[in-house]
Amino acid sequence: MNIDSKTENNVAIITLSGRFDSHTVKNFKSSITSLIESHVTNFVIDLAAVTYIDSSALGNLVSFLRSVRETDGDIKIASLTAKIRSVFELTRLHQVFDIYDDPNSAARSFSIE
Amino acid sequence: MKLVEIKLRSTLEHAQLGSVAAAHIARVYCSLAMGLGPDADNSFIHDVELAVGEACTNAVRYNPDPNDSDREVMLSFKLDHNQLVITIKDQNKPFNFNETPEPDFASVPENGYGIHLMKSTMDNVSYSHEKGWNTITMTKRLKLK
Repeated sequence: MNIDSKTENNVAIITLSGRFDSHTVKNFKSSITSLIESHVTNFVIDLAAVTYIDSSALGNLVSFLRSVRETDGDIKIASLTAKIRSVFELTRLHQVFDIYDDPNSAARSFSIE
Repeated sequence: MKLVEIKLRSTLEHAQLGSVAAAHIARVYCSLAMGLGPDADNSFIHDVELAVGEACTNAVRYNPDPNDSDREVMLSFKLDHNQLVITIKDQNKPFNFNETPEPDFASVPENGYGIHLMKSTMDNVSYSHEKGWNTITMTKRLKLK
């Protein structure tokens, strides 16, 4: 899995590509930890190029969401393909995360709140 | 009946390989059964990829000795009368598969979704323990067009 991120106005847009699963989740954790340590509190996770997601990755997103909300931050999810959306729906997590059609809309939503 | 067997090591990298292999095998079986293109039924392929990935990850995570990556996880895939039959075997401690609760969705848990995803994506999932091996057996019927 590749992980790219850019931060503007305290919103980090994290773009993932490839398989987001039990094997690759440790790379995600380490990227997120660095961003949290640099005091970013709002995150957009762009999943448009993610080809596969499993319960380990989703569990990690939930854990990440909990810790970010403790610091009054939030995580928005962007660009779910039908395949990835189906896994969010099966785990009911589409009701937990705010999901947007694209990363720019997700990032803008922070300034509206 | 066509049979493919794969032996994996008990590592998360190999759990990923099991899932990737399952997707490829499901794609081939789709083509064999339906005579259609390789992407004939993406939903079927993804369901198999996810269910096998979850089962392999559980097999690795519940290895009582995480340093013993030589412990094996065995996969088999059979196409039997347009039904894909998959087994995932490991030598971990037996567990009470049938009494594993559904996730408590209201509390938004961080784990415990694996068996739920297997059952949600496959037609049938069952468990047995014999001669030191846990065996998860999953079936899914191809929807012929």
